[in-house]
Order: sequence, then C-alpha cells, then structure tokens
Amino acid sequence: MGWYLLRRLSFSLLAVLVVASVVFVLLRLTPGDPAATYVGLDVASDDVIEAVRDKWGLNDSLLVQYRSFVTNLVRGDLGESFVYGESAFRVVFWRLPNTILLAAVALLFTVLLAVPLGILAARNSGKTIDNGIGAAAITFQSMPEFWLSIILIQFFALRLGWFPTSGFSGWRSVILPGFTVSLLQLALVSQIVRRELIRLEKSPMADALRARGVSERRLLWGHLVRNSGIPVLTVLGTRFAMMINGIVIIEAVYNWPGVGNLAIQSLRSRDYPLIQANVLITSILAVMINLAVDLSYYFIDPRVRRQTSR
Amino acid sequence: MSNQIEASNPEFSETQRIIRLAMDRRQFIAIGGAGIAAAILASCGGSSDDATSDTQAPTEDTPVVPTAAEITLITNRGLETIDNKVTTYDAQITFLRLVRQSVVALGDSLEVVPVLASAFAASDATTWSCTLRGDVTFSDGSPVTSNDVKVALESYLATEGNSFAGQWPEIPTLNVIDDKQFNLVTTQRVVNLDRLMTNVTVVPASANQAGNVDDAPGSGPYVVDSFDKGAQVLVLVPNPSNAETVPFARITARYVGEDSARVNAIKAGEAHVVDSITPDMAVELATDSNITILRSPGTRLAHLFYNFRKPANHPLSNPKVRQALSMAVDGQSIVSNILLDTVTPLTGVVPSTLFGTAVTGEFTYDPEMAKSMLSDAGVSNLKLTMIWEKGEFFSIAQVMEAIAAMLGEVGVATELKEFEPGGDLGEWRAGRLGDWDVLGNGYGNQTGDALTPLIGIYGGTAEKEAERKTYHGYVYPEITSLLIAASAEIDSAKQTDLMDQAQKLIWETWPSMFAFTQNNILAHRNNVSGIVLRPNNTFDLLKVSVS
Repeated sequence: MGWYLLRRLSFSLLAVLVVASVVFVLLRLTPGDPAATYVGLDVASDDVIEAVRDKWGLNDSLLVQYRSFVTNLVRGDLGESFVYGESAFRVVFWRLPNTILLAAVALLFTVLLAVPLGILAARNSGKTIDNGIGAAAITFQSMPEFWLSIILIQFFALRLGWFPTSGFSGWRSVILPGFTVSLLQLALVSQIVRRELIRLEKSPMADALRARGVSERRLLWGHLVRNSGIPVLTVLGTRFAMMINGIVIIEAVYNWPGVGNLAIQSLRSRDYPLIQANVLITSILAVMINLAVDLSYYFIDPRVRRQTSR
Repeated sequence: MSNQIEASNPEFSETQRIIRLAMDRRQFIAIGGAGIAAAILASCGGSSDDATSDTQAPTEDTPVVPTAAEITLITNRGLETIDNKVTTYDAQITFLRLVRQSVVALGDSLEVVPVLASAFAASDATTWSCTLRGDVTFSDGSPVTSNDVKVALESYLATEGNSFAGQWPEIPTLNVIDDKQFNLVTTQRVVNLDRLMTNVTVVPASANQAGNVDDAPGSGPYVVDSFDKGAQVLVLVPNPSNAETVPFARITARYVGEDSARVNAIKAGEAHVVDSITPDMAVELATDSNITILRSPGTRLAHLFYNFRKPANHPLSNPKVRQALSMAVDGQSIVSNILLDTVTPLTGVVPSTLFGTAVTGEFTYDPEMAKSMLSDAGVSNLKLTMIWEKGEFFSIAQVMEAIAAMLGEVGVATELKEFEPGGDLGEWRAGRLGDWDVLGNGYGNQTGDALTPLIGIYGGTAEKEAERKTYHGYVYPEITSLLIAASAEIDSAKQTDLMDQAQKLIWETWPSMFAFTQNNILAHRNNVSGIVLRPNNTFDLLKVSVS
C-alpha cells in the first residue's frame, strides 16, 4: 500500500510538473506582451514598457526564465502576480475555497438529483419514465452552459427574486450556480446509476439474495444501491477534480470569485505567474482528489482489499 | 470478522495491519462525509474580507438589497488595488478618491479645485506654490505634511509601469518650505502642472513607496473597511477622523466583468450604480422603468490614425490623399447605425470637452470628391492595411468593416487585422512585425486639458522619432514649436492663441481618417439622485443620495 501510494504520488507530481512546464513554454510562445498589456499602449512609451519587461525578467531567454521558474518552484515560490503585485500562490488561494465550495455544492445537488433519477429509471427500465428521464438528462447536458446559466438567472433571480444574480454574498448565492452545474452533469451520473442497477439486478448476487427470501425493496436499498456506488464514486470524484480546475463559464456568468474566473482575468492580462500558479495548484489538487478516490476503493470495496492482500 | 482478528492474521502485511487497525470502511466513509460537510459549512460564511491575511476568512452574509444609508457601485474594471500609481481607471476615481486624496482634483467641469491644498497656483514662470490646509489629517490622526506630498510625487513618478509619468513634460523638484508649504520648481514652464498633480494621491511618507501601496491610510472622508482582492469587493465606511458630513454609512464597490451580470445586478436591485456600460447594455436597461441612464460627453479620443512613418513618395505621405480617404467615410452613418449615437464626432483634433480645445473643422462625407482628389493625386490601386486591438472601443470591428466597404466604393482596397488584447499590436505599431497604414486607437486623458494629448500625439520631434518615441511618426516641427511655446506661455490669451494655431495646423495635416469622442454612459436605480456625470467618467459621490 505504501509503495503504491508513493509510486502514484511520484508519477502524479511528475505529470503536474510536465503540465506546468508546457504551460510555461506555451505562454511565452503565445503572441502578446504582458508588459504592454499592463502598462497600456495608449500613452506608454517603449522605454516604460521595456522597464517593466526587465523587471519581470521577460527579456531573458526562455531557458533562463525556465531555470528561474523551476528553481523558485522547488523553493515553493510561484512568483508575484503582474497585476496584483502579490504572491501568485496567495492570489490563487484567495479564490480556491470559493471554487471548492461551488464544486462541493454542485456535487451535492448532483447526488441528490442524479441518484434518485437513476434509481427511478432503472426500476422502470424500458418504460416511458425511463425514456423521459434519459431524454431530460441528455437535454440538460446538451445545453450550452452560458445559455442555461442566463436562463436560470433570468427566471430564479430576476423574475422570482429567490437568489442573487451574481457574486458571492452568502449561502443563497451558491445555490443557483451549483444547481446549474449539477444539471449539466445529470445525464452522466444518472445513467451510470441506472446502468449499474440494471446490471446488478440481473447478477447472481441478486438471484442468491432473492433465493434467501430478501424482499425486492430490501434488495434494492440494502444491496444494489450500495454496490452500484463504486462506479458512481469514481465519476463523482473525477467530476469534482475537474471542477476544481475551475468551472470557467459558470463562474464568469455568475461572477463567482473562483479560480475559473481568475483564469479568464489572468489570461486577458497575460499575468504569467498567476496563470502558472493557477494551473499548478489546481492540477495538484485534481491529482490528489483522483488519488484519494482511488485509495478509497481499498476501504469501500472488500474485493479490492482481498485482491491486495493476495 | 472484527478488525482485531483480521489485523492479527499473519497473511496481512504490516502496512495493511496498521491500516486495518486504524480504520474500516464505515469509519472512512463517515469521516470523509463529515469532512466534506465541514468544508461546506465552513465556507458558507461568505467571501473573505481581509486582503492582508494569509488566508481569507469568511464574512457574515451581506444583504442582497442595500439600504438607504448604503450604496453599491459596480465597476467594469478589476479592483486589484486602491492605489493608482500604475493605472487610473477613470470611473474608479469616484470612490477611490474618497479614501486617498490629492493636493488638487478635477471638478464637475474638469476645472482644477483644491482638495488637500488651500492654495495651489503658479507663483512665477517655473514655480508653483502650494499651501496645505491646516485641518487635514490622515485617518490614523497624523497631519498631512509637505514631506508626504514630496514622497508621494517621487513614488508616483518612480513606479515602473506608470505610463502616465511619461506625459509630464518635466519632473518638478518639490522644495519643502515647512510642514504646510512647498513649491514645485521646473526649468521650463509647465503650464498644466496643477492638472498633472491631480493624479498624485497622498499617504503618509513612511508608508509610501514606488509601486501600489494598499495598506496606507488616506485623508479622505472614507476609510477602507474591507478589501477582498479575491472577490474584488471594496467596502468603505466613514473616516472617524474626518469632520466632513458624508451621505453613506457604507459604500460597496464590486467588480463584475460580464456585461450580462452587470445588467442583471442593477435590474435586480443588487447595485445602485453601474458605470461604463456599453451602448447595447444601455438599450436594454432603458426599457426598465426603475433605471435611469446618464450620458455625458467624454474625454477619451478614439481615432483612425494614419501611419506617418511612410516614405515621402508613398500616397499616405500626401495630406490631400489622407483628406480624400477621410471624405470617403460616412461618419454620421457609422455614429448612428454602428455606434448607436454614443459618440461625438470630433470638430477638432482632440475632444471638445478638454480645456483649450479649438474647433478646426469637421469630417465630411463626399465619395465623389474623394475619388476626384485621389485621381488628382495620381493614386490608383491603393491598398491599405488597417489594424486595431479588439475592444479598443465599442463595435470597433464593425466600424472597421464598414469603413473598408466605404473605401472600396472609392477604389481603395483594404486588409483588416484585428489583434487580441495583450497581443502583438504593440510590435506592429512600432513597425517591427509588419507595415500598416491606419490604426484604430483610443487615447485617454487624465488631466482634463487639451495640451496633454496635443503634446502626446502631435508634439513629436526628430530626436524622439529616432528612438521611435513619437506617436506613430507624427513629426511636424512647426506644430511642435507652437505646442512647446503654448506650454510655456504664462499669458492665458497668448497661450490660447498659440494652441489655436497649432490645432489648425494639425487639422490641415489630416492625421486621422475619422475621429470621435466616446461618451460616458452610466446607469443608476431611480432611487439614486444627485449624480452629475463628469466628462472624465467620474462623479462626486458625496453629493449623491439614495432614497
């Protein structure tokens, strides 16, 4: 277990470093000048822009810049944001809890909506209800995030006044964006629940339990739903990890102060340290979450424990 | 099997035995679920409010609908700092100057008014004298002194990235006479030094330095209660050290980037004022009976400026050709149909809202005359490359496309190149990546006077052009001499005459194919009154009330 953990961590961190390096190089190869963006071209002269480029080390060769980046990274220094003038690490961590909160709420809504719908669909497999749930879920998944967000804001925030239209001003403001995200991933999770339940219902385990006199109700809730949890856990875990990287469009439309919104702002302003820090931190978190999900199987699934112990 | 029986099984590895003893799956799920729930509950308190702490702590819920003793403003530019040494986003001056003040400021008609100063005037050709008010203190109780102003000026001008510093014709020397008196001395006359000083905000000298400083006290009627740089929300409360009567117990300024989110926020009543709205947002908000749209002529120049770095035999080096191309453009149609009447075509070479602007002519549309003039100049098969940065002004791409079509009707082909913000436009403008002919550009103003953009755009010299420091190669020695003379002239009538002469000459060189001033547009809820929108897109918040 320990070696497995160490190996997974090592490979994961190596992957993160590769991602960070690719982002580093791509940023510097992309057209555009962060110094000119920062200073503004209207009235600035070349020497003002050059002075800023020198200050930020942008006139150094790519290799020198990369060496400096890696050296600082080893020391835990992700650089200073061009725009904020603060540690890039700190700027990302101002926003990260907000994205984690939004992702957690979205996950909660997803579970509350998708699991019952998946169960209902499985119980009525092939019938109109099953087809209706599938169609509705796919419809929501197919909707553009931007459009769905605006529609929900128009109705629930503007027309009904139940929630704020944007920003983060308390618990009510997280419900609408969280609900929007959950609608977009409803199809995936509910279909996985449905598929697993149908498969398990026809399995030898279910036959054996029926033969022992277990009622259908107890069979469903005491055994089938529990056993269908593992693939659902997998997809929820990966979805959570993806959301940590920033639910960009949702955060933009709802003006949610998360890392997704920060990514848009930092890309617009060519704030290299902030972009790099954002990518690095969220990648590490995503890797850790995926690792945690993998490790959780050991505790949740006895079959995995038996395999490991052989 | 119990944990202890399984853990004692010799078939298990040591690690597995430890893990088995420590936890079973039910405990794991319970702890994991509790952890997630704790995270949710801990985060539900709201966004953080302390930019100086290492981690952002949740705040209590803020009301969605502000009360009458409060006002909420939404700004369309990021709120990364409350200092303005690098950038001065015009609309943000409205609330930022309630915290940090300058010696003098621009009034409702862009006249210079004293703030920290009781007197600020030119005492001779190269000296400006200032007396600070005796009653003015910072929010920490310390008095505002001449030394604070000295350090403020030095820090402002020494800040890397301060593009406006280059617009100071000369850096003055500030001589401290005593705690409340100082003078600013230059070698040449700098006639608009008072206007330049409106951009230098003052904080205690010990807390000031080059670069943006956020945690120094100001002298204004408000202090920062919280500044959440993560959520970009700034909250101001009255300064207990300031005796001035203030209308609001709380001012909240929020940055909202998305236009749709800004529209929704004011429609829902979550904000009282939204600044710098686009024309299409204004059209939508105008249909809401609870919202009023305010417009004022602005100070930001937008123009299609020619590249003056062409060889002498190039068609664009001929002012008649430039004039002809201008006459091929139906400016009124562009203003009405694309820009939705939110701009004012120039009748001079700089916006008419600025002090010292002269009326020198207007853009006329006469495609037949344009063809004739081009023919007379021997121009045929002319192809122009027009470049611009996306978002430079509202609907810039549509404007450029329309102009391309209009030029096509007089036999001029065009190639259009749009650059993303932060892209390579700077390199192109400098001529390092390719040749271009016309640039769609904006030019802001921070002083309220015409002399600053006149010198900045039209005051090029051969020496500056050798270092590529002119405005796209615009060098006319006679014009530059007039502008320099104007900037040194003490007599206001003579100065006006010199500036008028310069502007007439500039107009005759036809520097722009088309030019206009962008109007300011602001939206406010109907229960807000007292907003007088200045040409520089600011207003005096102390005169505003919310019923």
